Amino acid sequence: MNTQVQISNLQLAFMTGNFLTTATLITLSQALMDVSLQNSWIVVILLYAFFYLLTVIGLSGISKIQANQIPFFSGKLTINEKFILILFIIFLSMLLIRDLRIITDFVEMVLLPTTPTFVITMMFILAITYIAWSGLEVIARFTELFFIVLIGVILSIPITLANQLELESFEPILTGGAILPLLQATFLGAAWIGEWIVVILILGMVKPFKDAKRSILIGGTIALFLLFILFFFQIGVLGAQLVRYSIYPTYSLVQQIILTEFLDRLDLVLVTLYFPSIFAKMALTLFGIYRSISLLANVNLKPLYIPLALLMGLLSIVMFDNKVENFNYAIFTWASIGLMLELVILALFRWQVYIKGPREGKVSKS
Amino acid sequence: MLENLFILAALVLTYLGFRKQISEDNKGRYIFIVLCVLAAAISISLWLDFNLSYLFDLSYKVFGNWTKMVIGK
Repeated sequence: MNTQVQISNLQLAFMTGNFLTTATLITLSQALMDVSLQNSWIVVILLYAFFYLLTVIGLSGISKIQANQIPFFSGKLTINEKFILILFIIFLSMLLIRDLRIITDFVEMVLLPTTPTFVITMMFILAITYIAWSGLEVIARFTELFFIVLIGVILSIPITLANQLELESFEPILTGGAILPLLQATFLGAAWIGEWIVVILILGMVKPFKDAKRSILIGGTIALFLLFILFFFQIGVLGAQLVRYSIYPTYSLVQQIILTEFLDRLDLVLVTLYFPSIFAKMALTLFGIYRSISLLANVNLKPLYIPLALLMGLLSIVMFDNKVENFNYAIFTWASIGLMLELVILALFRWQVYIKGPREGKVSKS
Repeated sequence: MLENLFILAALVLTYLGFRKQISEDNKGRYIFIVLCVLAAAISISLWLDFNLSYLFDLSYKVFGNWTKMVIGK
């Protein structure tokens, strides 16, 4: 693996933000509103608290270690690092399968209803393999370019939909029995927010890496702010009762944007602007799987991308018989298995930082 | 059938296109072969209409039901 590759802290922040926003905005709000109804906008605040704690605790020792002590970048891998990489392969494979099927189902339902699932999946596979093959720097630049566009699109929603906002949709706010549903909804969303741990694999390529924690926090803050806008306006414009039965609430929301008489299909333009962002996310996931395999087996063979991507694409088709199964996997299965994997990976990473950093520092001083 | 041919052709063309790189990397070659065999096997199972959704069922029965229990669904 070429460790000369470098990305900036700004790019890391955008990659984190993009990773947390793009797939989450498609279906998660529906599941959250099914549990906590009109109070779901508060869930984003609770998710932010979870994200902040996870980042601060998980990366707490990162500023104390040297560049050559970063896990996966310090020469021969320890057993702990190998175990983390195996968990990363499982975690990222499940994530890529989920995202591929989510976006394929979305395209099949909204844009290309007569095109077979296989063809749509292979088009996505082709695009993300091309980006991932080009390397991390290209993924970072691509993300930097298109995440700004996505931020612009989402930030324009309050302006374009302000006239349709009905504040009565938020009532009643936090009644007596609202606390438990809020916590339950936070549990459903926690695994989606913990996905930022993928950037652990590339920490050693961030220059200067000591600011990486701050960049991840900034990226996550941007992502959750964007999700807050989307969830808030979904409740305010569509109403929680409609969103809980809507398959793609964010798409339904952007369909409400009517600027002029002749721009009645603005939603298609916005969807087109959104696609590069999800490509960037899936390319980073594929890159993460490839990097984990490369580090684990000590190989550097880019042609591995092709069978790997095809395998993920095929699994995303054969694992789920229909859209409901994919929804159940993305919401219910992922909430538990995703969160469990994220916490275990982060705990092992923190342990690795602990045994590599301060302890070695103490020995060298003595 | 066409899907299956597409996958197999993609794998064969990848091998032919990069055979020098693949043959030079010993470990990489084995991983490449394993991934190709897995992709080809799943592709053939897709063609023969074998149901692989038990992979989903298994994870859903364990983790999905646990999540539903937590959120009281």
